[in-house]
Amino acid sequence: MSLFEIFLVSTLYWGALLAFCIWLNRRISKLEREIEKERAG
Amino acid sequence: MPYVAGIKGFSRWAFLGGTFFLLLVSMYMAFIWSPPERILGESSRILYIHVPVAWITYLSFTVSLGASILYLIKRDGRFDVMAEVGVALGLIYGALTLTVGSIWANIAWGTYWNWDPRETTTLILWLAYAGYFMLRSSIGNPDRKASLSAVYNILAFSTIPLSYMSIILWQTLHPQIVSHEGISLAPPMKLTLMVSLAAFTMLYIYLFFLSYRARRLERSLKVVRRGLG
Repeated sequence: MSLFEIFLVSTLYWGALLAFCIWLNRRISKLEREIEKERAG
Repeated sequence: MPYVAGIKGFSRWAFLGGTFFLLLVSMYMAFIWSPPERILGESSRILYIHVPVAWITYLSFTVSLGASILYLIKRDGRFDVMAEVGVALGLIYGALTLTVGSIWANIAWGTYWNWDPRETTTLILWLAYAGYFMLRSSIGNPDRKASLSAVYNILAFSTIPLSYMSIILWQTLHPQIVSHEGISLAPPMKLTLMVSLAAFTMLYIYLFFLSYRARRLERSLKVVRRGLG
């Protein structure tokens, strides 16, 4: 396995975790908005 | 603004910035600064992903165990959410451990999977924790669900020492890098591994709080909808 291939595996790994963090942040914002909306009526 | 539980303002950005900085440093050290290992060459650098990911798997299941014990003592729903999130993240990291481990096994041993004691016991561990979510989805009553899954979680934890000790108990091809005598690596590799472990742990803490917040909000939304409905 070359250095480039290992770098690729690692970049994919970090990319996936970063995407997961962004998705969770967006989900939190969406859920907060929905709760506020439900409470408001 | 990105969410970090219990941390506001400057501290929040300091935590996120620190995590990101540590990740960059660990990547620089892993790919440029650290020398390749004598026998495995460049492919040995996968160590800096595989070991931290395996460490986080054990850590996440241990956090989950603590939360389950606290739930059974205090009967506080927040601990049930923590246990659930701990198992979910442990399963994600466990899948990564098995995947990255298989890639490395193919490089070092010539095959992706050879039923080595460490591989087998880690797979058993992963399947045992997958059962946690099957159990949760099969129970309707929330209190009963939380109690039974906490008990199951405590029982499932027995697979952690089994997986960790497998390379001591049985003959295996898997190297023992971390033992009670410390980390058996050359000093630059050891330092790189330590920085990677710190970076992965900080990222895990961030992911844990994010997931915890999201899961609690999902439950709150259900309660609000039920109350209004």
